[in-house]
Amino acid sequence: MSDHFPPATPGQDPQAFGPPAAFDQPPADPPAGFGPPPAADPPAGFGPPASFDPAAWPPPTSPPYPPEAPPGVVAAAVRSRRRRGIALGVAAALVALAAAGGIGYAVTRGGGDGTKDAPAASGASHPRAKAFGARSGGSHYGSLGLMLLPVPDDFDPGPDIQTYGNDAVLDAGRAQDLMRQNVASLSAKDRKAYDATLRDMHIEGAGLRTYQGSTDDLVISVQILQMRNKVLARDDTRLFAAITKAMHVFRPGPKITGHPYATCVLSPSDREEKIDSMLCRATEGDLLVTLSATAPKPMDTTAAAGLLAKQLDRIQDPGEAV
Amino acid sequence: MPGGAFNVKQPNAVRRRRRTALITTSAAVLGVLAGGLLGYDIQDHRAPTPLPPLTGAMPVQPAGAGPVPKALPLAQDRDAVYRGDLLKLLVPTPKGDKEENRSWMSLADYAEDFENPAGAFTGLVDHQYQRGADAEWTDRKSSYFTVHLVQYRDDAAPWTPQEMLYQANLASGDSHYGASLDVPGTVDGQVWGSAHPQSDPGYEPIYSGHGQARVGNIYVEVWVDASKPVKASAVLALMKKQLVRL
Repeated sequence: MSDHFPPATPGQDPQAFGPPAAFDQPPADPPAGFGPPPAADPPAGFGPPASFDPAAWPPPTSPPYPPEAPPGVVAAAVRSRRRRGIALGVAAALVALAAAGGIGYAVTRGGGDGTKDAPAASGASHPRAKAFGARSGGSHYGSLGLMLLPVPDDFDPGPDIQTYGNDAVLDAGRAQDLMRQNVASLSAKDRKAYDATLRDMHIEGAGLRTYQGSTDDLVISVQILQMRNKVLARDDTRLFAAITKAMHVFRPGPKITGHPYATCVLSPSDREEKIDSMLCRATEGDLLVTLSATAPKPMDTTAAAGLLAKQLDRIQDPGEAV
Repeated sequence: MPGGAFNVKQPNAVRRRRRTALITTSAAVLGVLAGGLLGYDIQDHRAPTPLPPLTGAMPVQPAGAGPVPKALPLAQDRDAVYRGDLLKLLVPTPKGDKEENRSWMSLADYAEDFENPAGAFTGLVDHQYQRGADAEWTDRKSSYFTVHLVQYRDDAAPWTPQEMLYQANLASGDSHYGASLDVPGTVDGQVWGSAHPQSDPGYEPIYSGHGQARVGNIYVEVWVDASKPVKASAVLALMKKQLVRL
């Protein structure tokens, strides 16, 4: 999946969300305001694939070719075009969801004017034995390139992410550009809300790496976004969990061992789509981790969940020293 | 016996002469050696003669980094094309036409486009799909245009030519496609018009022309779909519009 943080317009009542503190317990019931997407203001990227409208464009051709691949040719190569004019479908909706937390936050903040910043990273410096790690309180030091999970034995480096390649560390400016690009298709109002959230985050950089399973049936991309605003980093994952749950559209994904707040959701079971997508969100201190995975149906989620667990273990927030 | 005395005397003279020669030779050798050693010793004790001063000033190492070389013009920089932003390389939607899509195409997106998406997915992973971009638009006569730019990470074992050969075989055996044309200026680029429609129950019949070509490691695919037969030349025109940008 090339982008991680696109759109979503939770049309919820800002008050229902309350201050982040309300999420110290994972919400058992969806907050009232979230409900099923309100009809009046359907969220932009949610729900059934917005781009697929059979009436709009003649026939999405399902060419009636019999599977007449010449003998000896791998079925993988058979590719008369199945459908046309539909870009992404559910995958797009999933991707859209990735920004849900960010915009939700802006909404709960009444437009996200950034009045209450998190305290800047403290300058408490330790003698550092390791090239990267986390200080008490959850601020990480070291290169994001080191924090990203190295490609495990049962994986290979995966496809590129846009022009960034398959292994990249972006400085603050480029990281913000990446985030903005991902919401380019949103309405001006939502982009503004998202921008406000981006400002509040005080983004310090981003790390990107992709992986593909050695057995060729799994593609994973991991994005780590580092921000000074740890409160927002934490809330983003909680909002993501709350919104996806309240929507009743996505299938719940696997639990991540040792990381109770990490949340994964799977694309809805759609008979048309032949590829499953999974999107996960987790926070470790000042790091917001997004994992997206795709695989032919049905996805074996344990491999992707295992990779996420390893990634989160590597950058685990040590908690606050008391 | 005078002869005998003469005979005895002669060896003595020869011996003496030999000794003289030996002494002379030794003296000469020793003289040369002693002279050499003495000369060496004298030179060794002398202060070295200073070298003549350099005629020019010492070059000065400029401080800081040198000037950044000017970027090559795009026309001369193939790397800028192959590593560049595919979205910028895609042919723009013609003025007046309606843009349907213009975005990056993930491996999963691309796989969904194939007849057998699950098989295509593993095939694309296996052949190291690197990245791709998709542009689609409709013109005023509601013909639908699609352009794909796709790259594989296949420097070591080129995959694109094989894929193209396979697709060409599929297309030539497909009765919906019409006459084909080669794409000029490419190794194996080819376009097919559509003489016979594909029809699915519940849908209007549709004519779908197709073309493919490669430039470096960029694989270009185009489709022209219309409600009337599609000429190969129409597909070729679209292909050429894309190729001039690569």
